[in-house]
Amino acid sequence: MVRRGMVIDLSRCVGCYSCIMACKAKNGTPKGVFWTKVLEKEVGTFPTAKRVFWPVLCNHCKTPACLEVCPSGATVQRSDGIVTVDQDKCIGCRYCMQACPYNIRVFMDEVEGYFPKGLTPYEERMYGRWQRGTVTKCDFCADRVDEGLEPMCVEVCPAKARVFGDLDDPDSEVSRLIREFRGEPLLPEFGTEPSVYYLK
Amino acid sequence: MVQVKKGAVKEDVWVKTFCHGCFNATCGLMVHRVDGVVVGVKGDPENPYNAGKICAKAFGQIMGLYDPYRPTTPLVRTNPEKGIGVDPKWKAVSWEEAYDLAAKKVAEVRNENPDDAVLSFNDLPLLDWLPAAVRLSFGTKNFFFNDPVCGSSVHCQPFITMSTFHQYPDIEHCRYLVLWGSNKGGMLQHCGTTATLDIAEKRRKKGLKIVCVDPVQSNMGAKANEWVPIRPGTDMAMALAWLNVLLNETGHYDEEYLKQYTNAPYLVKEDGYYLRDESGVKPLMWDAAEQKAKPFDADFKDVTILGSYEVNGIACRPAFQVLKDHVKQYTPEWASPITTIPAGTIRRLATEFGEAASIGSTIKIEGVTLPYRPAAIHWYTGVSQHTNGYWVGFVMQTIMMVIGAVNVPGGTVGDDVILDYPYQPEDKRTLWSGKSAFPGMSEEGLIVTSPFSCFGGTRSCCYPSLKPGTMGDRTGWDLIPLSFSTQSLWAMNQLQPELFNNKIPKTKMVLGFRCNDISNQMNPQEAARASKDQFRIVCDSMVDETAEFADIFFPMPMSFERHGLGTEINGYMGGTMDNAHYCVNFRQPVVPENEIIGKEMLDVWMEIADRAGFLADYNRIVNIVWDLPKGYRLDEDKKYPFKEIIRRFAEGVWNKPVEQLAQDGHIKWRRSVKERYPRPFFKGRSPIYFEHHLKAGAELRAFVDAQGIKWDTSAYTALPEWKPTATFVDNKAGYDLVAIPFRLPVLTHFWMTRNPWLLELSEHHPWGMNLVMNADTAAKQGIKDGDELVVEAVSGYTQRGKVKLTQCIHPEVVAVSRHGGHWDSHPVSKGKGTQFNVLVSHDIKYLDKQYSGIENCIKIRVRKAEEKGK
Amino acid sequence: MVQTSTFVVDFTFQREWGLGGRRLLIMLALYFGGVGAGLYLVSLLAGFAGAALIGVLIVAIGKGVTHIFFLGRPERFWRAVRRPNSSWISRGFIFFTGFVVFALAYLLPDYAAFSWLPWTSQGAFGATLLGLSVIFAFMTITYTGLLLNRTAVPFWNQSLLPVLFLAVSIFTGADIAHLVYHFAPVAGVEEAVITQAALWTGISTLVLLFFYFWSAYRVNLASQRSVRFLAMEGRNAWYFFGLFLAVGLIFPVVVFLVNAYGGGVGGGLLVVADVVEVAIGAVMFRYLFLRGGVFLPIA
Repeated sequence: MVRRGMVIDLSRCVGCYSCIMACKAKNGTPKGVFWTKVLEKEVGTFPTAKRVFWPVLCNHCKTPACLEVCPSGATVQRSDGIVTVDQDKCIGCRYCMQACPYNIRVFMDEVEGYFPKGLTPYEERMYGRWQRGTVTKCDFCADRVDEGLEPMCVEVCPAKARVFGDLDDPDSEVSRLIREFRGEPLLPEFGTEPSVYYLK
Repeated sequence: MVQVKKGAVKEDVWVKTFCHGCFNATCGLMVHRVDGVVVGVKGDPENPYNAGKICAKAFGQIMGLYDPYRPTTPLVRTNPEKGIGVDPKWKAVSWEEAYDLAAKKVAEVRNENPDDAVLSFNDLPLLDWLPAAVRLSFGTKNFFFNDPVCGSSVHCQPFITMSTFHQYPDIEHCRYLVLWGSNKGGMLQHCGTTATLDIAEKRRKKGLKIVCVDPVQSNMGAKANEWVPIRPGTDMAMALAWLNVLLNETGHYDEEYLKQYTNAPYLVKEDGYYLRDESGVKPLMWDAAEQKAKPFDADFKDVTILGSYEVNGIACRPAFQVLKDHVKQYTPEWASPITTIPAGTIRRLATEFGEAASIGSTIKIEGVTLPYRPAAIHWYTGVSQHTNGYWVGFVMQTIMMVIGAVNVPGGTVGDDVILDYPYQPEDKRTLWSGKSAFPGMSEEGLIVTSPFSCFGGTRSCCYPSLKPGTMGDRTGWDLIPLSFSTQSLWAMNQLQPELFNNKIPKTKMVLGFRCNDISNQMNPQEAARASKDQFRIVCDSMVDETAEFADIFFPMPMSFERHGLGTEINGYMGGTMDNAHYCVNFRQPVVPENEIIGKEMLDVWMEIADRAGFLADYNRIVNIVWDLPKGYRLDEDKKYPFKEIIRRFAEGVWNKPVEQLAQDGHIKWRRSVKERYPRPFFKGRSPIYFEHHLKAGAELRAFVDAQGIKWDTSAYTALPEWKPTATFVDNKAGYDLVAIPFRLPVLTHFWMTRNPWLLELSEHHPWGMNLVMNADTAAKQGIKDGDELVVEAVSGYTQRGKVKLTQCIHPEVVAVSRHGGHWDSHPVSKGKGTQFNVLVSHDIKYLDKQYSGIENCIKIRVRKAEEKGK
Repeated sequence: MVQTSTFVVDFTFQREWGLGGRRLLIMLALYFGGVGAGLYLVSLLAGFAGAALIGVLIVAIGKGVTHIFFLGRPERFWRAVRRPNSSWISRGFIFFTGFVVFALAYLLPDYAAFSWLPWTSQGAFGATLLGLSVIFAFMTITYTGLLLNRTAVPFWNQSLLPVLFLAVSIFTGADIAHLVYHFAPVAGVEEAVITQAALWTGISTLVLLFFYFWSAYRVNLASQRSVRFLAMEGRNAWYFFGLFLAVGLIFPVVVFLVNAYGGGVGGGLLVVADVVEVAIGAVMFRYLFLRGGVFLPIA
């Protein structure tokens, strides 16, 4: 079996936000909607304080809390572990957003363009897939993955801070990195078994 | 590369072009177009500048392209009054009408005195060509390139010491990298993508150590092994102390390098000038074996750089000894209270750096044995944008030369030392018909920058210095003879001509080509005042602050709509992946030709030239500046669209058909070892002692006295002398904080704030577009995170914005965003964020008299907005 | 507006349930569902069929409508029932529907307009309807607590929550029943049952609240952040202790206490106590619980 996963090397991330923009441009997410973000955490005090950049995205958990609570069947898990939301089925109750410990899902209250003057040709083309009033999130660029490509945030990362691969394959780069650098997921105490691991 | 996919859609193609998301415009892109609409962007994996990686700004261009607020026709101003917030009352006119109007005015000024016009330009991919083509065909000397806020004062030092326009660390081999006022790898610009990738790889895999000296923890500061939060503008004090530690405490200096490749052995008299041979030209060096002084180019048995000697009764010392003695006064204990860095830290860092340089070690690369100095300082605008900016760069450069790490593996290297271009026939195997791209040598034995590195030799490269002339240049070049660019003086003269004894005539016309010069002056509000009275022709893709002062506005295409070849290879400023390739990028519209909005700048200029009666001059100049060979030259009386000039350039000069470039997206070829690490392969010496300053200073003093201009020439010394910056001595009671500018990787430039994608990201960024302040300092004033603050500068100017408190900034510093404060009518950016530039004023005291850089920090005080004076 | 916070690693307040615009509807849904079912239970206990019917209608219309219009896609509300084996929303949908159906089926035959119905509230069938409606009423009240238990918001994760919801819902239900009785008294209704119910569930609410906040403060930093935000910080502390606790809960409890054991108080004061609890205490209870939802920082 294949289980898609990602390793994020925090020591490499420079906080440039390239992944956030790559995701937006590739997926055409409306105003205010971010499927991936780079969060910033400050540790320590002057003069030894440090800014740490934490890229976050849907963890595509093995035991997704969002999947359990979804009442409508909109959230589904593919056999390769990718968790997706079917816009046609989502009723917009947002229970999944409360269940996800990573606070990563987004409720599309509105499908809004970026200019007050109306949608650009790009937006007109890309926004067709969105239904307002539904919840969305990162799908690991499932369409790209199905074509044998990496998610866009991985491809673009100028620091190669993100690596994509098969967690079930012990010889994959992601598995190797997790072993070698003792990669850890976020908030393991929630028991969701995330597929995104972080290297410090 | 164009490939058509099958499917329901009629068209699905990827078009190669280059990114113009930042000023550098270097990264190769592949743009995805489906049925005529751009739907995606990715990096071109074959392009060595970015190796398939791109940053947020690259994607942002999709929104820029489709910005519905772009003007589509030429505009003519009907409201004669100009000012901030004054509606120009635009009238849309036809292209023909606009050309005629512009040509009439252009002919008028050109016939009377072309120097009454200033060319304002800031489009890097055209830097080698457009300024020369427009300026010379029109006939004006005056050129403005946004330098007051630019890093232009970082070029002089590599020009003189390396013969390149720009330098960068050899990350491939470096083991100890000091980012000093530099955010290299932090994805702001200058080939950030490859630097980021390179640095990240070397840190993770080879243990590259990074020290970041910066008052505010930049993105790379966050990645550094050690962040050194220095007080702004005091970098020179710490650098001098480093130099002292290396020379007088630890003895980390590369004697061999200094003897062979620098002027360290040149004998210097008590008066500071070289001791020269009887011809008065060649400096002498001391041969310890023969116990006598000989011209530098004679045969030497044992060159010495230490000691003091007497030659023909004249006391003298080698330049290195003079330097060594001179810096003794600058101890870490002396520097500590100035910089706020503990003396122990200064000493430790200098020692670590000296040790890391591994003086004496060598490395074999592609069969060639080279010195191996894996320690580099990459210094940048953070240190150079001060009144001592010219000098601070030279101190850092001197440190690098003292450890023997310039132009060798592991240290800093240049990007435009070029020997060979392989894609031309054997008989034409020099680039650009014989213009040298390898360092030359002066009669004194010092490096002379190759004409290739210096815009075809059309501009000064700082050494030898310019001779002050006639004060004809509206940007005051005569007063800055060591400079490579001088534009900070332009607005200063418009506002206060008496500073220059009214010797510089006022400017009557500004020809603006994609340059927001008003916003990028020392102070946009003052610059706006200075810009009221000129006739302005502006060619730009958006109506920005400067365009709102235009009399005639010509819309031009956005980056995804333009043709071009370049970024010129000597201007890419940052290197390719592993420093292993040269690359010239090709640009083509990614949208259908009939959907392109506006006209390319040179097409507009060609039409104006035609109507104003100097088309022949223009075509002649194009032939020269593009260096078009026979068979490709333009006829003087015909009109050639820019696209056609690019075709001739591609085929005539680069020997590549445009059809192939459209597929490849770039021309690349490998750099040889000699080109990558040229130091052992050319003769000219790099100065560690700047004798030419003395002569330049004396000439300048005579000139300003004759002109009746009061001008400070005290920094024209041969060795660096610590002088506090203007801000450091601005002691006004109560103004105990210092404002410095900061920028975000997603925006980089002021003009990007108009991009709603990038703006949205910066609004979610914790630092955002406002103010960043030390949490402890804020607590003392009762300021809380998110409070609305008013920043009052000693100049009397204020900025208001939300504050973000952090531990990652020097306690005396408030960082003020340089992205906000737009006043033009674009609804996306208008009124958002703060603008640092507003705080500084066009006061001559903030000018670096050596280089015309400006002091990019200022003393301030802050208060909560709701308090008095609301 | 799509809700996106600043890109920092920090405690993050949930923003989707109960904050601003249409998002407020879920707070009303919790309120109507709780108090309606509470009213139904207390009314049955006191033999007050009219009030019980009002309770059912509050649930059916109040909770039903607000719930549906809270949804991003109201037209798909029926889809909420599709995952009863894992989702408390699907289960809640069933409890809600079951309660409304069984309670109406139990109550309506007693009204002339519905006398055509082929069953009555008496007998085994009626008793079954009664029993089912009571069970479903309890479930309608408590499932929301169980639902909040299954979220990533630590402040909502304590098992005491369903019990607390039960207590406060019956308390409010009793207050409403008392109000109805006060303005439209019906013979045979035992007022004392209503006031006793209000008193003891009110006291239970206070005690449970105390334990809830006390333990939430200790569970982890996120729930501590919730407690601090709701009850200890700046203006919120005044609202919490002054408006919510003192006025909204303690005052009515004291009034009922004095009424029961201090020799009775005037009807007017009881009405005031009812009104402040229904309009302030019970409303703020839901608002505060939703408002205080905080996620743990990711790192």
